[in-house]
Amino acid sequence: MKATPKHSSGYSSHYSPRHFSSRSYKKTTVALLLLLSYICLTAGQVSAKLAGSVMQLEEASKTTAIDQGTGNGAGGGAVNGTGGGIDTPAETGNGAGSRLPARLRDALSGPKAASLAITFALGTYVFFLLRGLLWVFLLRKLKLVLAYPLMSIGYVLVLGISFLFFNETLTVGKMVGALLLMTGVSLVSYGEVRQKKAAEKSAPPAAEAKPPLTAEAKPPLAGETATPQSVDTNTPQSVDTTARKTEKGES
Amino acid sequence: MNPYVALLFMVMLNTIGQLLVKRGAVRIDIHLGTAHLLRSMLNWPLALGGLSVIAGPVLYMYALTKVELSVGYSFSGLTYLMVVLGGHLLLKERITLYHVLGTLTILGALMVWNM
Repeated sequence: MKATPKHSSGYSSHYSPRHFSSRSYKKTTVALLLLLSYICLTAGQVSAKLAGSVMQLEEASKTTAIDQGTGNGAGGGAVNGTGGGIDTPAETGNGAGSRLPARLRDALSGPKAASLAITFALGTYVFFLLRGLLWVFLLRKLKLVLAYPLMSIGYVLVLGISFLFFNETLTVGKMVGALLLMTGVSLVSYGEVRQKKAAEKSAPPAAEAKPPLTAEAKPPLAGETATPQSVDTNTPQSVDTTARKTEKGES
Repeated sequence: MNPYVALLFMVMLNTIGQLLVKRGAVRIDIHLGTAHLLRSMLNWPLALGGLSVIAGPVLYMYALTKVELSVGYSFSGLTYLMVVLGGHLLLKERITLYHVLGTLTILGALMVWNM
């Protein structure tokens, strides 16, 4: 495209190229921050779950070892009894740990269990802190009334992950709750989109002040690069002015 | 302390914390170098907001020792509604009816979640 050299030539002093790029930059930044926040949120929860599971498994293996020891010490007659003794603590005393898929359980319960527990516990804190940091930078760009409800999607993500990877039970209440939660988040986002559209519609006084500038800047541009360019630069501007307005209103 | 008072207090603390964090976050300036960025991150709304957000779970855990998890869970859903209302009333963020409906739905969702 021939459009790029023209943009970089600094032809139009204040306006279109810089604004356009900053607008799309903002959008990608927000999307990236949101994505990273979700990843940190789920990673933190997974890390906490793994740390807990390691500890539980270790505890369970200790009790079974003791059981085995006493069983062996008791002597030959009670073979059946020791068998039961090994089985029951693994099922009842172990709680959530026993529900883990076998491969994961093997990976977590081993000679390295202690260091694994520390790693996962530290990981939980690291992800927690990272999430706080990301949250602050996300709030720089996004309205609180939108960002906070959006974060509740994390519940659904964690539910999905715990069902898929940790073999946790998925109750009807949780499924309905997750559906309702997604509905709620969609409602909030829908409200936000509607508001933005309404602001665009009622913005003309503010938008009219700027078009002259772009109208001056455009004709030489439009000489070679055709209409799509002008459309592209036009719409973000109007959005941008409204966004600025709301930001001013917020702060 | 009554656990329900603790839960309401937690909701308030979380809400105020989020509002303060938002106020502090808009003060952060990333365009003037790292030193300036760090300095702009050390502002009182952000610090205070961070503290109250951290203090929230303490109350939550205290309340959970006295009431069932499903009750506590529902109360944490109340935070969504309060944050949206607080954002509108105190931060002057514009909201629509859909925001209120949406957060009410989220509150309902978290009530259903543990049923």
